[in-house]
Amino acid sequence: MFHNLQELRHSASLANKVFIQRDYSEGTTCKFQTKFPSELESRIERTLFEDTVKTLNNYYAEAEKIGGQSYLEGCLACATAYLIFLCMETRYEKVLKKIAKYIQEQNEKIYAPRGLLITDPIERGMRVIEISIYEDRGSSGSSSGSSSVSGSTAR
Amino acid sequence: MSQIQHAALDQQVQYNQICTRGGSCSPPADCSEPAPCPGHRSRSPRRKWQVFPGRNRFYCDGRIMMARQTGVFYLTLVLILLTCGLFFTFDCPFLASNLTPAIPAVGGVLFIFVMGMLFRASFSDPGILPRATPDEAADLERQIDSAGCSRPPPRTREVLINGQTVKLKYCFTCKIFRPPRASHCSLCDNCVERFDHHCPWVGNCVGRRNYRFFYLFILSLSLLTVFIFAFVITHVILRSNQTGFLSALKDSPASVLEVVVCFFSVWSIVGLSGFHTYLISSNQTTNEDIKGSWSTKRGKDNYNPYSYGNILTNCCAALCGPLPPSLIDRRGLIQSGMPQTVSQSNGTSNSSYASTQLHSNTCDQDQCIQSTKFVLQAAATPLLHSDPVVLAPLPGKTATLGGPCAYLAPAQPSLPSCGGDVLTLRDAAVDSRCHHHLHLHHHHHHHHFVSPEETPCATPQGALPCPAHLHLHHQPHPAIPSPAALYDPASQDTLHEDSVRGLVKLSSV
Repeated sequence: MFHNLQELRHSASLANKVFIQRDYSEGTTCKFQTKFPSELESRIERTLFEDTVKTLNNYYAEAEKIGGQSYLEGCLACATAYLIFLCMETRYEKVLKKIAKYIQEQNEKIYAPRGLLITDPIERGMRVIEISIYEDRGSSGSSSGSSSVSGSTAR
Repeated sequence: MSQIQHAALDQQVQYNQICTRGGSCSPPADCSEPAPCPGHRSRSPRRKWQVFPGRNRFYCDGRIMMARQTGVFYLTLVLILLTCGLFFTFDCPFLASNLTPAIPAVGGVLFIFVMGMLFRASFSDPGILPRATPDEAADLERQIDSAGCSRPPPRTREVLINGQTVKLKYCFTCKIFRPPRASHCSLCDNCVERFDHHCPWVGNCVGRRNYRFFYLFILSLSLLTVFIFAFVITHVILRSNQTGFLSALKDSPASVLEVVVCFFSVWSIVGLSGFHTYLISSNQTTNEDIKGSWSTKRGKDNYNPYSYGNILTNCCAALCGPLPPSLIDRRGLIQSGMPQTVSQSNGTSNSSYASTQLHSNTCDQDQCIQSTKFVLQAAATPLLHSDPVVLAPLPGKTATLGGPCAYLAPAQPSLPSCGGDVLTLRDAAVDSRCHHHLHLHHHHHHHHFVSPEETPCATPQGALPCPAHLHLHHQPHPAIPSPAALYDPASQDTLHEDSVRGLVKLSSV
């Protein structure tokens, strides 16, 4: 249907949005539900969708993992009165960058050709994965770029 | 997005701003024409903190954020700076020359650490959850309404965490289902992740992102207080060995002040440190501990699902765990075309949101009217009535945003001393973001509470933070009436008058 991301934004209009909610069954760690929403049934294969969500969940688990490396980072930060974060990025921020890149790549390869667009959850306060469904309106489309794929988090 | 679309959206932004500001500016005939309205044009991009919906204050272009009332924070600063200043000026020279220069050195290091942790705890984002975008809120509302038929739809969700059933509550202000352990702080008007308490001494909420700084602050402050107390007494004793007690006091009068301040601080701060050490080792928040969420008194099978089972792991997780980034991105630039959160009524919107934005302006007024009406009706019922009071929606009013203010269910007061019912009344009203009459009363009522709250939150007896901090966390579980018909401005004025009378009656109780 659409050849690339640029075409999607210029020639399609937003039809609907689907929200993938958080899965709290393992506590407060960031994890999204892998349940396949009914609105996407005609748009994308179930396995592709589940793969995307599972990969995202793995990334978030890696970011929030409590283990040797995070302890080291925490103690080092405390010892330097947290000034070390002026020059260094926290592990969480590094993983968030990886996630942004992954989502952009998924959008370009898999979702945009099917008329879908994933919004990085960090732009929705980590509450939901927002998937915008676009309909091809032909030449008279006013695109609504409500989701920006390259998540910029200026701190 | 292309430049043309950017420009088109900018024009739309200006068009919306002109319309909602009343009839003084006549709207341009064709909104696609670049017709600037005098006085409203602003091409410089704004940062997100400038349109932040909560009651926080931002400084240094969004780098620093604090709660609205910062008076007690300045008191904390003054006390610490004054005591340490006096110590270094009057006691340290004597101690350095008579005992060892290591004393001022260690004192200096402790002082710097205390100040660093205080600033970090006060100025950083505690873990605020950004409010839902209009699309999300609409989607949630649809899900909630479709669930129930004749019964009022549930505004809670149950989830099983590590074998324990936890209820997720719906926040009316933020329009989200709160994650577990999150709570809505009424003083700051934000939902905060892993909410511990709102500390006036630090001038900020204490939540997931700044709990470790808060804990290190009180721990190091208790060490500093004990340190200063011990060495000031040593100084006075050594001096009185040389010259006698009374002349020793005359030679260093500052020592008396320091001893007094430290004596009272030691009891409260050391107690608070001990309490928070207990909380950390059992992985609980102050909120949960005070409510007794995981206490075995509630049920034999009640346990804390978040605890790792091991004291050391709990401590390490709380203090050395990964630090999540701020979700509110306060220094980010606002891009036109981005969806704004539900509470904002100013410009940026694209074609599909324009109608909802304008709609939401009128709906804010509707909610104000609805909320004042229920306050009026609630004033007629006994305050300590425990049954939920369900109000019919106002005739001829829209309720497109779910009309959360048209119902009230006084929640069980978690702290009887706070007159919980009256507060939840106020709370539910304020929840609908009415900025007119109710705002005054909300502040008025807060004022009554803020002054007793601002006594040291760790009292000498209990070493518990003042429970009054937490009194406004309960969200009511209301019933939802069916949405009503169109907005009718004619009856608005009489209703406002009635509501004012009702509020006067209510506040006189």
